[in-house]
Amino acid sequence: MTRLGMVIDTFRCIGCHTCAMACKLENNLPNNNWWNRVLTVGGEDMDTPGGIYPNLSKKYFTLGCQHCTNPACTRVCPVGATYKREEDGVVFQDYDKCIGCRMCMAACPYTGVRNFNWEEPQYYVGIQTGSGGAPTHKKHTVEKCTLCAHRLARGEEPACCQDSICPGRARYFGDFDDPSSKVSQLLARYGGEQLLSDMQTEPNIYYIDSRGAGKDLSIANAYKEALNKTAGSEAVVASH
Amino acid sequence: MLEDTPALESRALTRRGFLKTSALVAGALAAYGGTTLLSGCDQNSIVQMTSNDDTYANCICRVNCFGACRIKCTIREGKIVNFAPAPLLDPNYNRICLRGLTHFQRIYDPDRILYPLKRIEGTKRGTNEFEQITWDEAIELFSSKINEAAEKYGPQSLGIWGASGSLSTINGGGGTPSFMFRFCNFQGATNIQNSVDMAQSHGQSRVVGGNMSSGLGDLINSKYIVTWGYNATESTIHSWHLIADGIDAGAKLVVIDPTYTTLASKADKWFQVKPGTDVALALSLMNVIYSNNLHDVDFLTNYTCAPFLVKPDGTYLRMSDLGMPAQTIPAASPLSAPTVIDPIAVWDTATDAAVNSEDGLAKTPAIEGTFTVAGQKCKTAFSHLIDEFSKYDPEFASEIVGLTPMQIKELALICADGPVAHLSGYGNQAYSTGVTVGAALATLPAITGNYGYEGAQQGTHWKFFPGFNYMPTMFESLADAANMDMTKFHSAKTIPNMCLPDVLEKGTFGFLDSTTGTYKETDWSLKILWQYVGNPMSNTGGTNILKEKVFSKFDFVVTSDNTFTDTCLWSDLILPIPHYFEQAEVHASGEHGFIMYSEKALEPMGESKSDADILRALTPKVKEWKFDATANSGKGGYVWTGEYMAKFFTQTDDEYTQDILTSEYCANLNISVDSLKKNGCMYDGTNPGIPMKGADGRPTFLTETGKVMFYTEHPAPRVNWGQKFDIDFERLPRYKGSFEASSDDVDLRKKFKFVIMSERPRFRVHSSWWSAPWLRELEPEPIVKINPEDAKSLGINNHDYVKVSNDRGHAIAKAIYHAGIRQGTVVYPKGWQEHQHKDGHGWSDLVNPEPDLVGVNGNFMDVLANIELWKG
Repeated sequence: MTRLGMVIDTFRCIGCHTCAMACKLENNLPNNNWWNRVLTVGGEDMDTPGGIYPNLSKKYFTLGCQHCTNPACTRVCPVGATYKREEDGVVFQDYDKCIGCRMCMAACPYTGVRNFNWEEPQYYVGIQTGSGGAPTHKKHTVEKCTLCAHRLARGEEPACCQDSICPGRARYFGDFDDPSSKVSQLLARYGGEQLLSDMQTEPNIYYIDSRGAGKDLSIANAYKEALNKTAGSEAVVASH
Repeated sequence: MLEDTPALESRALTRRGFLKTSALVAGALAAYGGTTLLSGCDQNSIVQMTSNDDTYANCICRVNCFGACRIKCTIREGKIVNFAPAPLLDPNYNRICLRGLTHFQRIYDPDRILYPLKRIEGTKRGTNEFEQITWDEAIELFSSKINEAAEKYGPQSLGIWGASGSLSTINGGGGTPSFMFRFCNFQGATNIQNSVDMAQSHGQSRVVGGNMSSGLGDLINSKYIVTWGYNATESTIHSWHLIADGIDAGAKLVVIDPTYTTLASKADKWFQVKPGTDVALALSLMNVIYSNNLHDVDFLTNYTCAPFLVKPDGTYLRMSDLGMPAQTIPAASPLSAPTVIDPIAVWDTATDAAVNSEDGLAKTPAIEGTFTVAGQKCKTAFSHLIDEFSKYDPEFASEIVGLTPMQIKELALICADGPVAHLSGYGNQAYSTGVTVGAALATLPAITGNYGYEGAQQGTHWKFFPGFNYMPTMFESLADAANMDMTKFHSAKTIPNMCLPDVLEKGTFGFLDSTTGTYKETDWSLKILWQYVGNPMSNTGGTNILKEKVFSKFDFVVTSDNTFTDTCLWSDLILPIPHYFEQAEVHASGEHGFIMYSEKALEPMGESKSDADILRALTPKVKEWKFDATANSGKGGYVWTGEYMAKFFTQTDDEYTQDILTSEYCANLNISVDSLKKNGCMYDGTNPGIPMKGADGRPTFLTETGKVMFYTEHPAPRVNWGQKFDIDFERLPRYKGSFEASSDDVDLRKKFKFVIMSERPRFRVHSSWWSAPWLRELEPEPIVKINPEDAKSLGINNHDYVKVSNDRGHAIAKAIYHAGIRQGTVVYPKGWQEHQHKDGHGWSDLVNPEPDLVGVNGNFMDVLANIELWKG
């Protein structure tokens, strides 16, 4: 079996948004639409630390579809527009099938990783960006990270994990079912946290801290707390 | 080409109301973070493309962030659609960033300047009333202004001001040997030097002769990485993973910064110093190191000026003082000075006598003490330094720098436990005392011998290619330069931009009189301002003063740009230039050690012309002037030769670029236009990660003596116009309060409560990318980060708008609570254009434009102001 996913090193991540921008460029995302976002663990706003001097702390993590082994979204889709691909584990989103009911958005516990196009998608500049092959965005459909399925089909990594794209060298992509893969080795070495691991969704995005500089700062706990604080709202943690 | 771009389709269209629209857009983004008014295209026209017919070009992003990213651009159906890191010779340096991924939004910006624009007759500058004109009209207008002013006031009346908006070669700024630099020299115009981030290198050069950083690749060999005023994770994000590699290899990260930066959040130790006090800290660290006998006597004796004897008049005791005549070697060329050989003397404890420091006979020179030589009491340079740092014991320094004595001692022990990589940013030198920061930080590693071996380094990481041949900017041809034919030599005078208010007021500037060797106030009329590769109205301190005392004093203001900046707004003529990726160039400046060829991905859009092409179009109409001592009834003056400047600008881009790459340095590395075109990327000889040591394995310094010269016999200001300054103060790294941030003026500190610091955010480079919509989605409006305790005491809630003001002006921004801001300071991300702020005033309003007389350097951090709730 193949179980594709990512490992994100929160020590090396500096919250620069380059991966988020690479996603936007590759998938030609419409205005104000981000499939991969940078969240700050710390203060109330983006880039601000938590705590009081001198006991301050700050971390970043990126959030997109978690490509769960046991996704909540796929079970509720009435038309099979979102489904888990058996061959590689990608949780896919098919705009042609999507009827815009947004059941998947309600079912997914990772608030904000999906986006619904209420209107015709708008673009600042009249060109379609990216390496080519990303599906065209449509009004009244739900969309999200597909691990750049169109790139996977060409044997390439997702845009946010392509070679040298991450200025911090913090992002790794691979197959968790292959024990020799880099991502499996990183997990073996550093452990790794999953978001909302108690929801039985078994996400395939793992967060590690390669230096343990902020071991007391659990990404998972911070995410959970932030979700509780903003329950019922679309806003999640200090995002852009 | 994007023919259907909405900008300036009709010739009669003016830019009236441009700013209103843009401000509205910024407001809409800020308020809703959602719907936008910018949508420039009909989404139905977007057709799913396949990538089969894509072509690629490897282009260099040429802004001054030090990254120098080589970017693989994808061109599809004639448009640039994708960006990815292109390979460098060492893949560890392959790079791109969030900004680099949005270049298409600059290229296809609906508001991009694509045609020459002229301020409408009868309107005032700054009111945004422009009309489109043809290039023929623009050239006619500009050249006639230049010629008229030259005839009336002399050719120096044209001031050319370039910044660092492009650091390539032929169309570059930032000190590159560009075509524009050649024009400035040949015309005899005034080179207006963009005086930014130059103080530290001036102080450092005094001490070690140049930058002693061995590159970030060497960090894997360091025991400690100590950063000084270096916001690497924000301003130079590509340096972070190399720092992280050092940490992975075992180095401890120690951050010295008033602000809890992202880098500080990764650090083992963070020292929250007071802004503008790094020199006092460095002196206190030397104090602790010396008091604990942790200084390296062998290194000090053999590799520094420590044993050099200083006479009571402050100059070095030289062998000529002891009866050995000085030798003078005549100047090798008309452009160089004669060399005087007169070695400095040291005290030899073996023979109890002053002896030559250079003949190798003094086996045991004293590094401390005062000795009577030829009736004069001479003290060693190290004893002078000891006298200075002795004042800064940790208890005394504690109050100045804002650290506890224990913290200072802890940091000193770290500095003594090498190899240490002392990495400097440019934050700590953006104070009126910036030169001494450079000198002190270069001196500190010398005390413990922390130079010249793996893992030990000190400096910044901006590198300038050492292989350029500057002769083509001054001589008519390479052959003329080889023959030193001074009849074919042309040069311009330089005036730092910070001196402009004064020069324009008085109409004079102090230039060196070669006959007397003194500086003489010389009549100097400036009438026309031409700005290129820069946005000084936004990026220079004191915007109101700049408008009133600089821009308004020029008869005619011209700006070359492709985005409508604050500077364009205050211009009379705007010349459209291509985007970086629309012209082929060689690029050689940056943080990594590679020189690269930037391919042309697209044709220049609209009617844009490169700087070089503008000069080719302009110079056939610009008159050539020659100084004639008999003119003007014998008073001397410039006369027209009857010819035009075009004869000096006949070379193609490649021909000129090859000339400036014709040097021994380039030849040794096989660097030429052809080899760069063929290889794309080549080592530039400053390979990252190589310690600065000579062939014999000993440290080498770029000073005249080859040693660390922490005692400077004849300190000079960075730019000399005969100004008076305290020479003795400058001889050693000494601390004093700065103009404002660390001012000793109690009344001033009482009047203004906050030090206003800026950061260079990852969302812009200076003001570049100010309008890129994807970046504005992430960072929609100006903010100011404030410590919550300070904010609460002022009744300011998180996200309230605040007014930050001082006697020079004000700016409005959204307050963001940030517990990592040092109390008494605030930090703002810089680079917004004025209209992006509520009520239209920007951060640069607050910055002091007054030059310190030694560094003559932008004091961007040296700002005091007050903060209050803005009630709108």
